[in-house]
Amino acid sequence: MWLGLIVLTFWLSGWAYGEGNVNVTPSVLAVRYLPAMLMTVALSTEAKGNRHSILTFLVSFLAAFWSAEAVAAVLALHCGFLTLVNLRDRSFRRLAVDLALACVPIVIGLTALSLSILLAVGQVAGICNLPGLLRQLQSGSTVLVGTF
Amino acid sequence: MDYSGAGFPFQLTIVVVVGVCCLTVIGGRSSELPHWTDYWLRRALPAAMLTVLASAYFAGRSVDFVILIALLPFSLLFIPASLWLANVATSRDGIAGSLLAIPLIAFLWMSSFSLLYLFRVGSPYSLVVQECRDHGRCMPAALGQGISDKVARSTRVGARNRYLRDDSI
Repeated sequence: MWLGLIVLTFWLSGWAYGEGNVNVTPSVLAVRYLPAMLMTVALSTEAKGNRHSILTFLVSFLAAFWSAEAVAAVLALHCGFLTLVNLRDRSFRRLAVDLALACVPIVIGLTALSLSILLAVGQVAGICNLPGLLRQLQSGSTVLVGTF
Repeated sequence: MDYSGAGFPFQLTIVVVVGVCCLTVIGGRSSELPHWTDYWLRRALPAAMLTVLASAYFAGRSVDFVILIALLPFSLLFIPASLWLANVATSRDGIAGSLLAIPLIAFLWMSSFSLLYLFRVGSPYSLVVQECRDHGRCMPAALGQGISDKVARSTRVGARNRYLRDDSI
């Protein structure tokens, strides 16, 4: 625990060449990485032989409500782990089942989110607008404000 | 601080972890590899993948200090390895004892820098030490009052900035 505290204080004090405060950029903290961090903990604390648990389900479910980036990170971590474990066991059929199971909480979460938006606002969420918005951001036509 | 070479330990660690995990996968269940490779697959692989994700932000930015984002997931690999090395060194292993100097120096340097920086006068962080030493707020009630004042001031500044921004348009 002491070693962890040393790393944490160094992390706080080393930000912006040792002249900045990390709290002014919340996107580098849990705002962006909490679901991915929780998935790492969930995978690391799983009992030997387990590939899914209540914790992995809850983290993936949370990521569905968090952001598209969190969904990608959580899926990358879980699917990467499942792929290597199943390849080691030479169980290719189980790999397909495991990957599908890893996506189930995301699908449930996104469905629940869409339904809650529909019930609260009376309109379907404009997910179809997202690719257009991303293209706009990439082309630079939308000015992004802020450092991070 | 200079972060120009900071990415190397991260890359090296990721390469080692992914290399051991790939050897485990190639060898399969019946491999001659030691039993701890399975442990790497469950414990080290998720941490290494998280380090890759956190480092990806550094790769996309022109600011080198953002590599620090990957320090926390990296510590999930570095601290257990240091403790294991210390454990081996206690069994009078000469090589482990020599290698132990690397994490010892790293932790000593990190703790010295962090403590000197965080508790210096004029630090961007206002911790309990600064509040008590520089502002005389040592008791919990005074600390709470100080936080309330700062939140109120920050709210007023935010409102003023919004007003000026809207006014300029």
